[in-house]
Amino acid sequence: MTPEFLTELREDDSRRVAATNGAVLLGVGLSLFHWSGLLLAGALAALPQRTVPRGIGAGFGVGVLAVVVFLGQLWLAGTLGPVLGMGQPVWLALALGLGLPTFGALVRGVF
Amino acid sequence: MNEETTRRAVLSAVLGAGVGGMALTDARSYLTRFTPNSGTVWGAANRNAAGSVDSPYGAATVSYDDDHVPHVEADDERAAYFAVGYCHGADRFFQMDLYRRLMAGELAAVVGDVAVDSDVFHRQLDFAGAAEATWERAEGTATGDVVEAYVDGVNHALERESTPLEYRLLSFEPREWTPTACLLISKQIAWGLTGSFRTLRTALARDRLGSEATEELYPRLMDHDVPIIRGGDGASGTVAGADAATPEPGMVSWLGSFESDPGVGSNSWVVSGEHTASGDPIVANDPHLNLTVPPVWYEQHVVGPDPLDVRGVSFPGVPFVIIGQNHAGAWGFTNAGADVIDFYTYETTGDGSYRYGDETREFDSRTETVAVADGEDVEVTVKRSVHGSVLTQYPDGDEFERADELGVAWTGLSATRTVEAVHELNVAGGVDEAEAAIRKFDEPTQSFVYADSDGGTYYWVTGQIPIRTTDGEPVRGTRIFDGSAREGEWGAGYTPFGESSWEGFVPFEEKPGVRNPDSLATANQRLTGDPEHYISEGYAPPFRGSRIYDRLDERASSDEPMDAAFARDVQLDTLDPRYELFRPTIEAVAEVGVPTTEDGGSSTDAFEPPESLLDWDGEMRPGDPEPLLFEHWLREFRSATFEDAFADAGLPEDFPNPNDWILGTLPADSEWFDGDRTAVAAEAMGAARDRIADEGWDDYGDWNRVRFSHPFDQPFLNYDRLRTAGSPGTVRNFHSEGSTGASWRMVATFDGDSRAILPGGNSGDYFSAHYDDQLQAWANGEYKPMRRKVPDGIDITFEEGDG
Repeated sequence: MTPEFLTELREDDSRRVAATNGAVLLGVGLSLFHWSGLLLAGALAALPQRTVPRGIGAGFGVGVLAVVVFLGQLWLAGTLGPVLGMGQPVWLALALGLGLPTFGALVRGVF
Repeated sequence: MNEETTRRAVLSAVLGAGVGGMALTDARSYLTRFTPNSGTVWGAANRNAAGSVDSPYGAATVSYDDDHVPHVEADDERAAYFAVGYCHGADRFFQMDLYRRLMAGELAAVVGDVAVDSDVFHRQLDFAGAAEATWERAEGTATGDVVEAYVDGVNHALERESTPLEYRLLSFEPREWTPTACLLISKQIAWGLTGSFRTLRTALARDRLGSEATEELYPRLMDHDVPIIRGGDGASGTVAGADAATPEPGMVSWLGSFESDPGVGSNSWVVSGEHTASGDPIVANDPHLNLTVPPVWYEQHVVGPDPLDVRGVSFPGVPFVIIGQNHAGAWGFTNAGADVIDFYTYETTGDGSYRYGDETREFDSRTETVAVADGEDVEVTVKRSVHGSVLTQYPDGDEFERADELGVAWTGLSATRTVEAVHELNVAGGVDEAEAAIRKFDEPTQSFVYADSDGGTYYWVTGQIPIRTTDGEPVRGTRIFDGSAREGEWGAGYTPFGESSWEGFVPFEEKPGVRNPDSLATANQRLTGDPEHYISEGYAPPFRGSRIYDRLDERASSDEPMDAAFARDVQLDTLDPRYELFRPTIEAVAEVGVPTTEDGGSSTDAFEPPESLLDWDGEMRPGDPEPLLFEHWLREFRSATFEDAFADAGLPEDFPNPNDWILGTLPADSEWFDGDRTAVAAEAMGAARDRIADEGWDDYGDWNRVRFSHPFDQPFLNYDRLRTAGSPGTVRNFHSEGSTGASWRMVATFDGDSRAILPGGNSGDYFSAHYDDQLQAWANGEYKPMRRKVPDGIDITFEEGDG
């Protein structure tokens, strides 16, 4: 059920790493515009990985990166303190940032 | 099916269900708003008004100082006010929009059915109609042109700046600002200061308690000797004539929720150079309004074509400085308490008509729809009579027989010139020009204090005060009138929803006022002992006014002249004159002892005298336990005195108790104490001690805390809870459980060292460092400079362009 190009991709380290990096960049880029970008980012980063756990780990890593980008933007804008002071809304954001790509990464278990 | 196939199937199902759930349910709304990076809420965290902006009115600059006060400079007045509008739009648009929705009766459309009653009331009174009429009057005038430039500036900020956080949290869009919206804000201010249903409450009290008891508990004039203009014998406070209808308690309670919170008032005083170290006058003002998040005031400094150079506070949505200082003078306002509202019943015909003298008239009636977010729309009938609006909660078809439907005359329903007056006040070059401006200040009725750099001082009551007549004879507006019998008629100059003239209102020269007073203090107390005309049916107790006068008099008679530091010290005075009034009662309680509670039950044989209260100096300091006991004892004493009797008389639960001056001046053997004041006071002392012990409070600051809430009441949007000094009875005014207090403290001098402070911050943007940066200083009783000096550096440059 796994497409042949994914099997080949997973077996070639250099292509796998390149594909993973590309997926992360594309996904994080899309996440700047829509929440589904984070889902997609997790899925795209997970698919090249050799095992399902590694795929999910890659999805989680994308989530960490997205959260770092998010907090970094706020830090640069000088509003990180007030955002962290919001409580529930910011915890929801962090949970979504980590959870959406991780959830998207479950697709590695399908393909 | 093997294990791998099962796993793929399960995961496919989980993914499908998850993505479907996210995309097709309410979860999508949360994802759209809160997901990091793309979440719409986070866009508000990158707001920062700065850079270059096109303006159709020409060049201007904005320099924000360390307190985020915009200093606007322009060669053209409209260019300056375009920039002011831009600042208001960038810093406070949500607040402006919320007030507009409140007054127009459009709140439920965004917050749901919780606001339906409010919308119905505001539609019925038809503030929007009054604001439209007021704009029609201003449009095309010099003031109207400036208002339009301001509105354009607000809308330009709306287009160019990031949408405020609150819209993102609630998922609705701001609408463009309009000149009528500016005037709706003005109506909101006027209503907050003069929109009183006291007439209905006292009428209800007369019905349930009798006239004599009502006169005793809710007198029109309180018996004290410190009116604003001192001297005079004091006018009679009796009410002549019977009410035309019995007020409906439910209606009275319902309407009461649309009045200002208890405690709205203010302090101000002016002292001439005769008494100051500098030889120049001093003006002090601290308006006690709702303490909101963000603050009700916005501080600004506007420098334009000569002589425009004014700094002070405006209401967001209103272009001009309301309280402040310009090149020539400084001024402030406190509420005058004038009665500018009346209520009427009618004899109706059942077909939408009513009798008015010898005529039969039809109500001007229309149906409006109140939109309700996530709910059914509500239809509301908006009805006008010859007197103005018609209010009702639940009309029962008896056509005004009980006062559950009432005609309302209010000066604010007219097209008024207050915006024009304030515009002119901003450039007034001294006392004479200030007086000329204030003559146009049609609403609200205020005590205006002013001083100029030439040493002139001034006090006058602003606003139109109606002269009511029945059969051609002047009457007081202290009862419900029979509108059909043409009782309580206002003069021919009053035109609801049209242009009123001053015909039929108290002439300006006949209103209370003093030119060049040596010193004069206003704290919402009675204006004068002997007014030429009926002014009001109720004033604030004299506690603050007497204390201010005591301090001014003491200093004036000493060898030490007054200065700004002294004025600030008076503004922060925490001595509660209520303590002196009630001390004899506390002494009596100390003699008989206090019943204490043991194991949940009351014991009458264990007594403890409140000795510490007798050693106390009456200062409402946060670190002391005595003010905590005093304040809570007073609350318990008030309740114990009146609540049972009021309930027995059938008054509604929320019916306000008499004020502390009345409670404190009742005879010790009054029937309200069942003949034994000490016994009631001792029981109250025990109850207060129990309450304090139950709550675990140690001192006054544990209870007396700043608790300002944002309209959304989200914890992160509310201000921090800070311990603070003051009470409802002190000059440093603060109502711990209410939401009123010093919304701006200003002490203006003519040596360049005027100082002021806001309770919060000048920005309404939660993510701004200036959201609440003055709050701690305000709670500590500190001030910041209010100089008219433009700081170095430009934050926003406006250049000639399309805007």
